[in-house]
Amino acid sequence: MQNLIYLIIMVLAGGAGWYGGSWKGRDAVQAVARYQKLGEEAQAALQQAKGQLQKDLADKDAKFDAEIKKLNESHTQQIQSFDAKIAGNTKEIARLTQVSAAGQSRIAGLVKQRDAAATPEEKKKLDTQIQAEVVAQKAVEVEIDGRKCLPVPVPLAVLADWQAVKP
Amino acid sequence: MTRTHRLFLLPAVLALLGGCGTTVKLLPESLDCPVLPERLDTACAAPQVLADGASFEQLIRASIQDRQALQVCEKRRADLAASVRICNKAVAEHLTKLRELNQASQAPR
Repeated sequence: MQNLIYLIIMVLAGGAGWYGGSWKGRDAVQAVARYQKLGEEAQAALQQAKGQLQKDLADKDAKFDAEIKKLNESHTQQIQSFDAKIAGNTKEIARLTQVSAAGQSRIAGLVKQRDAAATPEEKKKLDTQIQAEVVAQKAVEVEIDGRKCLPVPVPLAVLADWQAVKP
Repeated sequence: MTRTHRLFLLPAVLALLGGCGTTVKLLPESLDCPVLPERLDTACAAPQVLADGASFEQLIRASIQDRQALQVCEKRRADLAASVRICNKAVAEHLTKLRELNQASQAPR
């Protein structure tokens, strides 16, 4: 009987100790649970942020690739156009020379007409036409001069300034 | 209980004790900026080189090439700047979210 009482007392003491201990550690358990939840939420937030970031960067990359492609295509067309102009340079100079000669003839004819004009109004009208022809003629001559320059070497002093900036 | 029995029992006990533990991941990995290495390593093209005696045609051609290279270079610069801006924005938003979570977890219960 006495042993049974001891046993009961021991069990009760154990229970009290267990209860007391669990009461004291409750805050710690709650804190751990809180940190665990926080960690899970932070991990979820990280995954979401990573996903969004990758999507944003992929969108930007696609836009960049499209822009570079467009730029390269435009450059290719530019070079092709330039090559075509260079290839046909001599022919174009010949054509422009004929245009220039025709322009000179037109101007000479208009000058004759103006000098022989009967009225000041007619003379003024012909002067206006002559001025327009002279402007057009000048543009053709500039084009011929420029095209003639293309195969000419750049003066060394000028080229030296261009070469001054080394890669 | 024999010595062999005790040896078999030990892992089982350790496994049970392990179940009592709680693993808390306090520091999740940080948000990185996954910019492609080839985009970081690409340099701008060097200017064209012309030797003495180069013609005006070659000068114009070199200028066309340099203009193209400059445009591509600027696109690459703008692209990298955009990457950094996107990453900065993502990091800032993520930090805000973490602060909100942290604040919510510390709110009085």
